[in-house]
Amino acid sequence: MARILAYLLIMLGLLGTVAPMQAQDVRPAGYIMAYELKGTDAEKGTVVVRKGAELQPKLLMPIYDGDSVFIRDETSRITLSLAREGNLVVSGKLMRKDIAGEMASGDDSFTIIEQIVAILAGRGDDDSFSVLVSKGAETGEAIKVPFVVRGRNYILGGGEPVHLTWSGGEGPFSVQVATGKAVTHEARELTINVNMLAGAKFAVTITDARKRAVRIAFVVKKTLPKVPDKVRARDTNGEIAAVWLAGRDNGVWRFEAVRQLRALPQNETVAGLIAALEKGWLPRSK
Amino acid sequence: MAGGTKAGFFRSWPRWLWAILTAMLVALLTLLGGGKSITAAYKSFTETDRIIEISAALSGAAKNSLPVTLIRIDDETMANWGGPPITPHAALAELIRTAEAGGASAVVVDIDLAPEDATTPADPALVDVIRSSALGDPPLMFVRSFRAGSVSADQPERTPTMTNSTPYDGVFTETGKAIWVSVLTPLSADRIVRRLRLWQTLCEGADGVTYPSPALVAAAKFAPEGDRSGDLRKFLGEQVDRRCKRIEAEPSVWPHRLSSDVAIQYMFNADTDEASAKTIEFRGAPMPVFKQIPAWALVRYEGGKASAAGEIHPEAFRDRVVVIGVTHANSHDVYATPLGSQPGAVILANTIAAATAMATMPEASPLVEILIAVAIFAVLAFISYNFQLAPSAFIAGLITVAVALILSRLFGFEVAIRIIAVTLTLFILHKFFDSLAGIIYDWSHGKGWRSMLKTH
Repeated sequence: MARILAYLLIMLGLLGTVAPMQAQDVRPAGYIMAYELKGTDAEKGTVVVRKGAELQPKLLMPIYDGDSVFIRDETSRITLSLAREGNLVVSGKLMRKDIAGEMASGDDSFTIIEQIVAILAGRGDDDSFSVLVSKGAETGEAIKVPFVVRGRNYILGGGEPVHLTWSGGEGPFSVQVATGKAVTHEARELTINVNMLAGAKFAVTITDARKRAVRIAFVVKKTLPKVPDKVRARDTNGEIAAVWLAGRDNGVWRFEAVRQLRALPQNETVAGLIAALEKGWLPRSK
Repeated sequence: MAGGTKAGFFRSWPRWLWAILTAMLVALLTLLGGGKSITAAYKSFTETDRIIEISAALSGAAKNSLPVTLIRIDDETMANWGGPPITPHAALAELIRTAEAGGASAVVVDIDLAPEDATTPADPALVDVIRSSALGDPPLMFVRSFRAGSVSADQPERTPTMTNSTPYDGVFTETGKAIWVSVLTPLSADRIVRRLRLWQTLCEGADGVTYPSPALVAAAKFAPEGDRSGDLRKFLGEQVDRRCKRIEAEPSVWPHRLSSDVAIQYMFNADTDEASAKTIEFRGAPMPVFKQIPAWALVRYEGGKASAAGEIHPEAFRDRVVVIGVTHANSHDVYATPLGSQPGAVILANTIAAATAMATMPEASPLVEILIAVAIFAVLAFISYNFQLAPSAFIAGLITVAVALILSRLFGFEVAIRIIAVTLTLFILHKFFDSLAGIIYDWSHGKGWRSMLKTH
């Protein structure tokens, strides 16, 4: 019996040999992502101190633990991408940044075990493409409502009426808004004047001729989430802010993000973003 | 003494009472939702893609992986560049220049250069970058777009696939500084991208051309045993002989492959960044297998003119293959993969990172598959013969998982799953016939119909 167990241990040992040896080296803490040198900085050209030497900035230059990034002229600007702190701008408000720490890696055992547990727990179910689909009868085409997600959908109050469209299902459709009376019609669209509803929450239930039903829950918010400065800084018309909004809190703002995009000057980028969100794309927020 | 009394009390219980108790326990667990969880866990585990995910997490980077950096033209980039309808070729030229200046070992452009309007001229900046490229070997690689032809794995190259002409075709031929490559990913029945076509041959009568995939070019150039680019050129020529001229050629020195389709060894997904990517050893230095950076950080584009956003660090891309590809929503270039939805450019990056392992992945013949299945079956049968059901099921389960992971790395997950399926079928058949033989034996020794009852 002991021999059998020994064989089994050898088998399991083989599995272990598949895992790579962990490489050991100093990893950077982050990178210089952008720089703009003015005044004295433009003359001297050096803004990084490393082991007593002053270095010139370059795009994607690695920054290590112990380095200092500084500017002499407060109008100069250096954007750093640091693994621990995210994007950080060295400018008039912060003229020197001492770098600490190093970037993690995907090699440590805990991360691997965590990944496997997450996979077995079903994290692998991709939620980046999701469209709310009706439940009920299995035959025929289900009712699909683009842009909205299961659970709550946040919308901004006081604005334009909410325009809801759907595909699939068989008419006529019975539509109930909040606690109002169900209205039956053939059209696959609905316009709701949110200002006429009492309370900050309401739900829309759409039921088709085959009794397939889908319920969409809305929460009316007074303000939008604050767009981070780094997002705002790169935005031109508001597309990036809208995409950022769509990815917040697992998509609860996606419907509102589309409303924001539709209010922008229409171009290829905006149309592409709306099309992707309609297909169910949910930008991942980090 | 008290413990001994308790043990004695349990020992006095009849066997049937134990059976009822365990049945009740299982029923209780089912009522509490345990059954659903077990079913879900079993379903989760038996899905091929879960095995791939676990394999990717457990075994880390593929053997001899290549470091890859993706310069992604994402929504932020398009917004920063003023929302152009397609990637401006002038900006692409500047990105290629930046990648070369940053020390890239190879550059692959995953952007369709075929214009919608055939009269659109070549962009002078891109022509200039191609002419002045210092990469040489391997030269700049541009992914060629194809139309019509079948990319079905079951019917490879069934219909005549055609390339879309571009205004840059002449520059490629004239300078030899850039080559066309193909990135065709045959879809599985469930429309998930699991395989890559390593090369694609197009015939025009007895003439033709074979387009290598960037993975094949990278695997040849960075082969652990030395540069195999010469062997690859010969191999590509042989494919034209075989497919178009119908001449039987001798097996190539490299790569030892008959089938062009190979399982993609995924190592990262669209969310992976430097901090979460696996570390590999390349040319004696540890480095993350995958990095990605938005194009807007490197290149500005205003008023139809592109310029560098700053001086690139000379080692920003050192020893790395740089892929320039689109990930913005308007590209609609997103596919389902075993590791979740990924833009085409990230799939391409995966194929290049695992290029060596994929190009040299052994093709298991049916005989080899059967021999492996029989060997595993013998081990499982031996265990079930020596152990009670519970420990043997546990040990056999562990061995099956371990073998599935190892085989998926050796031969690809499809072959691994096939071998495991054959093994388990053999094992179930063995248990059935073993039980049947026991019944026949007992019956023939006078037990009669009672030989079909279980003895306790």
